Order: sequence, then structure tokens, then C-alpha cells
Amino acid sequence: MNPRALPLALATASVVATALGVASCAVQNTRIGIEAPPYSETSFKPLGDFLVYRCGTLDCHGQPGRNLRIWGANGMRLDPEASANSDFGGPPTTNDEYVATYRSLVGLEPQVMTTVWTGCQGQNGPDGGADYPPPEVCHPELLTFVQKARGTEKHKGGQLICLSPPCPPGIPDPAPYDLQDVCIVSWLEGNVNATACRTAARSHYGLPQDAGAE
Amino acid sequence: MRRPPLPCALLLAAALAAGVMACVDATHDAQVAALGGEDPAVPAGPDHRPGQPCDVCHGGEGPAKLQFSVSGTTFMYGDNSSVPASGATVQIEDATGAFWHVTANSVGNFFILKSDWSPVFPITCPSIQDSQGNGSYSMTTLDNRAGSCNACHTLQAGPNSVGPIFVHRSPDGG
Repeated sequence: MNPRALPLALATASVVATALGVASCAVQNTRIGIEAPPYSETSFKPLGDFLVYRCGTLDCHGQPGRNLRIWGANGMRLDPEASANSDFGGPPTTNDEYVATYRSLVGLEPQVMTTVWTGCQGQNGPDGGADYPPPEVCHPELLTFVQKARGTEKHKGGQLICLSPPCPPGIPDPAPYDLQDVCIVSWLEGNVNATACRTAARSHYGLPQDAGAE
Repeated sequence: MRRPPLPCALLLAAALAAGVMACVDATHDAQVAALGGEDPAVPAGPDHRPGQPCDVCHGGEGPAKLQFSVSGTTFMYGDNSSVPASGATVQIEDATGAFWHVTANSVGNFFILKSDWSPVFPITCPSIQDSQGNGSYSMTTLDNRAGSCNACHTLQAGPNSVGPIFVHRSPDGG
């Protein structure tokens, strides 16, 4: 090796090492934002009540080990004493539990949620309600929790929503739509269809009419 | 015969080890172990382990040979889980509207063999009555996939359990 080249090589290596060091320091743990349907008890309660019934039972997403965690009456409680202190799952779902469920739901896939919300928000139909089926710019199917519920992605709990017949055993045929899907999509459009959510929770599978949501 | 080169032997051993490990479900093994040993006074059988989640062993992964589709333990009173609801009738309804009735044995255990009925989930329990036909409670939620009722109905209520299955709230009514 040319002796004159040694200082040059050392200098080059030093510059590269410094650059790498600076580059590695440039990565910062900055807080990311999630664009999602904004939380309010009014807007989230219908979906939250539906979710705790359909998905938040103690054998499914009413468990702390799940990525999607759902809290509420008749399911997992935030208050450690809630179930022990009264019958049948304790008092009605609290606002803290709705918030906890909301945070779990929108935090599952922050970037995808942002994309979906960007396309879906404000998509109202002619009657002022949320547009269903959603327009082409709205893609709820990008969200994993929607895919799992619809059965387009593997789900240990199986397919829960059926968009078109033939539907699996135990899943009612849509008439004309599956109200579970209407409930979820309307929330993603920022205009939750409370009637669809309530009806979906109470009409499927013979649930007692006095059980739950209110 | 020539001995295989050392790296080949190592690769072979690693592959065998990986194959063996793939057949072991450590989570399931831990769940079984967590149940503890049998009560020496109660032989393994229909009366054993009341209150424990039956499907850990009877769910198809062993070690029990009999497979249950639905199983659990019911007690007479919600405020006292020491009195089994012997002879109670538990009604199970599945997502298709099909029903099945099962009777609790002397320790309150009940089970439906998978070979007899494999319900379509979610299931629920619309009715549970004591041996005299009395009882007014029903399950107000769905059971989406756990055939083992005791998995959620643990003996102690808490944030992740509503408590044991019962027929009456208390001996003095309900």
C-alpha cells in the first residue's frame, strides 16, 4: 500500500464512521399521530356496546393478552372489583372502559387507521346518514380487525360478518346488509349508525332483549 | 463407512431437535401443569376436578382421551361455591338455534362429548334449573369459542371472570 494513501484512507474511514454515528443519532422516538374517528362517548358508545357483546366476551377479546382488547359490562372490566361486587358482569360499561376500548382499536394499526379514516370520513348518504356500502374512496377492508370479522383473514373466532350469501352456519344472511358491518363502517365514516349497532348486537343469536347495551 | 463431516452431523442434529420441538406445545403443557395433580381421594373420571377448565385436557390436545365440546361445573348458589348443583339441567343453544340439555353429576360437573354434539359457536345458556326444575337465570352473553365454561366462570369473580355458574343466587331466594 502506498504510504501516502494511509492518511487518506484513515480520514475517509473517520468521516464515514462519523456520518454513520450522526445518522444513527438522527432516529428519534417521536410521538406519532393517529388520524381516526374522534372519540366521544356519544359517537363511540354504540360501536363499543356492539363490540363488547360480539367480540369482547371473556373467551375472546375480553382478555388482557389480546392485541385488540375490549372492556365493558359482561366482559373484561377495568375496575378489579367490578365483577366481584355485583351480578352478571357488574355495572354498565363506564366511560373509562369505552375510552380504553377506543384506544385499543385505533392503536392497533395507526397508519392503516389513518389511511382508512382519511378516505372514509364524512361519506354521508343522501339521507344524511353514513353511506353504505361505502363509496370507492373508503376502504375499511384495509383494517385487520375488519378483515378478521369478515373472514378474509384468518381469525381464531371464525367469520363473524357475512357480506353476501352463502353465509357460514350460524351467520344470518345479509338482509340486504349485515348490520354488524354497517355499524363498523358507519363509525369509520364518522357518523355511527347507532340503530344498526344496537340491532346487530341484540338481534343476532337470540340475545336477550334486556341484555346489555343501555 | 466414512463418518459424515461434523457440520453435516450438527445440521442433522439441529433439524431433529427442531422437529421434536415443533411437536411440543409449551403453552398447553403449562396449562395442564397449572391444574396440579389429581385429588388422591377422587379417581380420574366424571367427578374429578370440579371447577377446573375441562377443555385444557379434554379439548383435543390431551392428555385426556375423551373430547368435550361443552363442559363445566355448576353450583347450587352463587354466594357459595361449595354446594354442587347435583342433577341440575343445563341447556345449551348454539348459533343455529339447536339445543342440547345436559345433566350435572354429583359434584356439579357436566359435559357434552364432542362425538355427541359439536355446536356451532357462538353458544349460550338460556336456562339452568336444579333437579326440581327450579331456576330463573340465563346467560346474558355469548360464548364465542370456549367450550370450557369454567375457563370464564372461575370460582372467584374478578375483572376477568363473572364467577362460578350457579342455579340460585342464594339459599334464601333468587
